[in-house]
Amino acid sequence: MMLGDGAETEAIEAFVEQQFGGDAVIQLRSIRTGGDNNQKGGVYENFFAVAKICEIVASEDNLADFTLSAQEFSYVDDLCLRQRSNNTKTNYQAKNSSGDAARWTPTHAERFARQTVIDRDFHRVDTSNQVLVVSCPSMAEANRHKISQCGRASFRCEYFPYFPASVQLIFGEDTVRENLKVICGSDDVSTANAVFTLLLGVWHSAQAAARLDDLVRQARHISKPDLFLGLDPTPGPPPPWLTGLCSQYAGLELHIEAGRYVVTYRGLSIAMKVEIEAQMPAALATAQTLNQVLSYLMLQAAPELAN
Amino acid sequence: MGTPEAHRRFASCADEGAKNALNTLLESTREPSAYRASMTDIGRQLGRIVDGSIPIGSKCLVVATAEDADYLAAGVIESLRSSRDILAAIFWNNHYPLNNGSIAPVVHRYLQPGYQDADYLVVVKSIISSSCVVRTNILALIEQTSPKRIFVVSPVMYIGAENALRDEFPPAIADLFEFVYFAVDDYRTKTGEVRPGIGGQVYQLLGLEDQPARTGFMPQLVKTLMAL
Repeated sequence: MMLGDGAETEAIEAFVEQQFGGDAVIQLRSIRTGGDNNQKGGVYENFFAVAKICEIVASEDNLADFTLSAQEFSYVDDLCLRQRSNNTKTNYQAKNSSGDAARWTPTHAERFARQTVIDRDFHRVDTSNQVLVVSCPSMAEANRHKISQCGRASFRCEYFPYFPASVQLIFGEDTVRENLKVICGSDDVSTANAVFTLLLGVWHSAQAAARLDDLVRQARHISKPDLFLGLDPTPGPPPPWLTGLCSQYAGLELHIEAGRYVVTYRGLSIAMKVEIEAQMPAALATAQTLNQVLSYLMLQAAPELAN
Repeated sequence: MGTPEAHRRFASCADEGAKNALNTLLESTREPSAYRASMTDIGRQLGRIVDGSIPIGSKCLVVATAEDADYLAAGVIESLRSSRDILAAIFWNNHYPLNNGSIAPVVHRYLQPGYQDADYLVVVKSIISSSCVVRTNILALIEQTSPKRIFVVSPVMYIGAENALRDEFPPAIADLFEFVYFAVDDYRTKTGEVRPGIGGQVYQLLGLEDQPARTGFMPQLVKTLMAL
């Protein structure tokens, strides 16, 4: 169902009023309004959303099975992750705070419980989880202890650090960096940051329920060059003409890196897509100098970079 | 927009020579050869300022994009090399806009053998607007090097670009930054071009068709260092 769908909102309100009373509807509406006003929370929430995208993209084969949405009409509304194959819905409330805003209280317990009922009986999911995400590790630990006393295995608290910039997040949170390494096929931090930025951009544009395979497809479409080659099968061996070319010039070497054929010469690294001609291109066959060869190879990247 | 001059504030290190050089640059936008010469001269002047901050005998890694290598970076190198080991790192970035800013992924790169041992990074850029390219190229090097300082050197910067670049990085890295520039401009078009800036898009002004990553352009500096 789409975010902002008026019919669904009304239906949820009717359900909530029936289940919990009119005050519960007022409470639900106030949660939605609060979500619109919190700009600082936006950075934290969006970085968490993209980190969650990276986690799933790096570890799951069937990305179409996952849908992510933000600010649904919900008691736990910052992020909602659905997995279709097992009919699971996980809702996240993100709090960039080490103070009271992030502290587990009976209000959280009540909201989490109500959302569980809505997920089960209105959205008809088999499994509903509610997660409080906080930016303070000691607060997360204290919250976990309190939650354990609720006796609800489907409630939990997670720690996710706040950083104001993606570069800082990548340097500061190993899990995010490891997931980006899988996606990029490289541990180069400039590439990792570019991928994170691309995913953040498509996430910003989505902001409604988005399938993860669609998000990745959109990000790859605007990635020039394609920085997501860690998601593709390992390239096969280069064509014989390319290995033969490299053997013609002392110091000209070839290896596979981050899903590309990379030709190196005395410090120069030229990266090429692996979809290249099976036979030596005519323009290379007539090249008479190493300079001409290198220029030709460099130019092979151009089509991928076109607007 | 107002007059271009109204949108420019000169840095304290910009003497009359630097101001004249920036004016000459803006007057050369129709002649690539004159523009190149002017950019090289600005590089020499910026390099002389950096020269005063880097100990003699140090190993410096000059970092530049492929379009800046033969002009701005060449001028900086000229001013630094008489009493230091100078190495070069040249990047072919593909810089383009997104709905949430811009990115400049590295397509090809030249890293002069031994670059990892540099004591100082001197990151040279003809114009710093969003700081996206400078950020990307520092990231591409920072984990392979252990610099004592990172000089970010540019004729012109857009207002706020210095703080924006510092804010991107963890403090341990940002604290290494030292900015050297001649002018700060406070006007930017909707497409991100700083005005008066350096007079327009640097590729065309230097006589290049487009970004070097898209044309396969190889700077002479790289050819020389590879003994090609």
